[in-house]
Amino acid sequence: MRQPSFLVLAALAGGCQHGYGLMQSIRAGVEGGGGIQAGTLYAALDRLADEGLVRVAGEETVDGRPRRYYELTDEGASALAEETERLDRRVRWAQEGLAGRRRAAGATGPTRSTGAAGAARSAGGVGWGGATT
Amino acid sequence: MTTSKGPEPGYRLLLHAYPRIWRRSRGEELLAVLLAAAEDAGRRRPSPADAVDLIGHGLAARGRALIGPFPAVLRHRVATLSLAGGAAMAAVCLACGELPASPGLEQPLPYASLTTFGPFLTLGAVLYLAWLAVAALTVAGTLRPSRVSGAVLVALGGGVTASSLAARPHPIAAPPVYLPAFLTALSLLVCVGRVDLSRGGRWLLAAGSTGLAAAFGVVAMFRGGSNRWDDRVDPRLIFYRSWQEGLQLISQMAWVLPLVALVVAALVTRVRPGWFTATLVATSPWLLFTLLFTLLFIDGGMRADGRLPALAVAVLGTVAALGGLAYRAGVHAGRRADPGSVAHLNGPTG
Repeated sequence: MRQPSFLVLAALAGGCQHGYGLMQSIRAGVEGGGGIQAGTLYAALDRLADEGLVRVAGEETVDGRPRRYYELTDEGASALAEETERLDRRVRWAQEGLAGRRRAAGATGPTRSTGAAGAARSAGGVGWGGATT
Repeated sequence: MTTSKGPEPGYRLLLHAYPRIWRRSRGEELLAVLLAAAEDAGRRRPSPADAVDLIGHGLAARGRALIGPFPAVLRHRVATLSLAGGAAMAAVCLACGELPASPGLEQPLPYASLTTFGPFLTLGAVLYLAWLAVAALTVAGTLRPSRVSGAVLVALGGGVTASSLAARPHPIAAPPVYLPAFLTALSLLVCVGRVDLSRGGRWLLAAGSTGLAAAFGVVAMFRGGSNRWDDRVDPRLIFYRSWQEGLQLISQMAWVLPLVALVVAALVTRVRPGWFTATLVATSPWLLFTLLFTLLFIDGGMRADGRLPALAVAVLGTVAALGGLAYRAGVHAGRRADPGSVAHLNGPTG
């Protein structure tokens, strides 16, 4: 799953939002990450709607301009949960690698460490193959 | 762009990167978001980052518009059906054409003295094995076919087609041109979506490709055994090495298979909208194949190379007609299956 898609799904997990609300939520959620551009946001919304992961929840006119509200579908919530679990596994894998590196450095000084790859082998490995939404 | 009106004119100009139909339905909404963000940031003109972002995504939206109105679910079904059809064709070609002749039997003339390609008879084996590998790994759940694997099949098919064309009229270890060309057309359709890896999708892929391959194999053996060739010739190879026989076989099958598939799809689509359109698109190469054969052999079996310009026009016309039909059917199916996915085709809202 592409990062903008993940960010939009994550921002919608708390409830339906309109376009600018999504931008603000993402900017607040990704500390120091710079948020998301409007064109990127709407490309992600198009893609996610096409996949059936988000849908338009409502529409109103504010200052003469249309404002649409978007919400997660059940499929979108499942996809977000799956992607979150996948990212969590990768974070744990990296943390195990870093912990192994620190242990090796503390025990014998500057020796060659097996790093994250060694930790992955001992833990059974982590596969590739996320969706490309 | 710096005017008393603020950044709006600049953003409106940048929005022209998007297709008109997209602007009509979403343009004002996106403009409102852009203006709100610019106001918060105190900008009086679009930033360079905004310009790059809008132009890039606008051009990408124009590219997507070329694909048509098909919702993702339809494109995934087309990819699944095309992979099943291509795998079946690859299996038949490999079994009938690429393995050496049975003991005591010969290859049909004038191919008896051909060079071979490793353990196989022609370069086509590489393409067929690639198709079978992608299909088998997909059914096993090991591979999730994407545009990358589809692009590999397109490149392989294009390469083998070019090799076959370059080989004419001198016989080398290359398959008949129309087979890799046909598989290349199917692999292009594999690229339009993601192959369905649900339990039902994998069942469809396995059962569909096996059934198609079995039907082709039986008819190929029947035709090979009842042909006018010498009894000493391996009947399997008639299908493959005599390109007229093979083309005739496929064209005859190609009339029947899409019709049966479309009847079944017409019933299924009442319950699960979109299957008829997906089947129509996925079977269009088979229908084109029949048209190609009919035009090439319109003189009762004589090749008609002089008719190629008319043939090209007829094929392009058929492609355009089928494309138009599929487009309208896709819009209709999309409105029934997922109204939101084709909302941008409904004109301005709100």
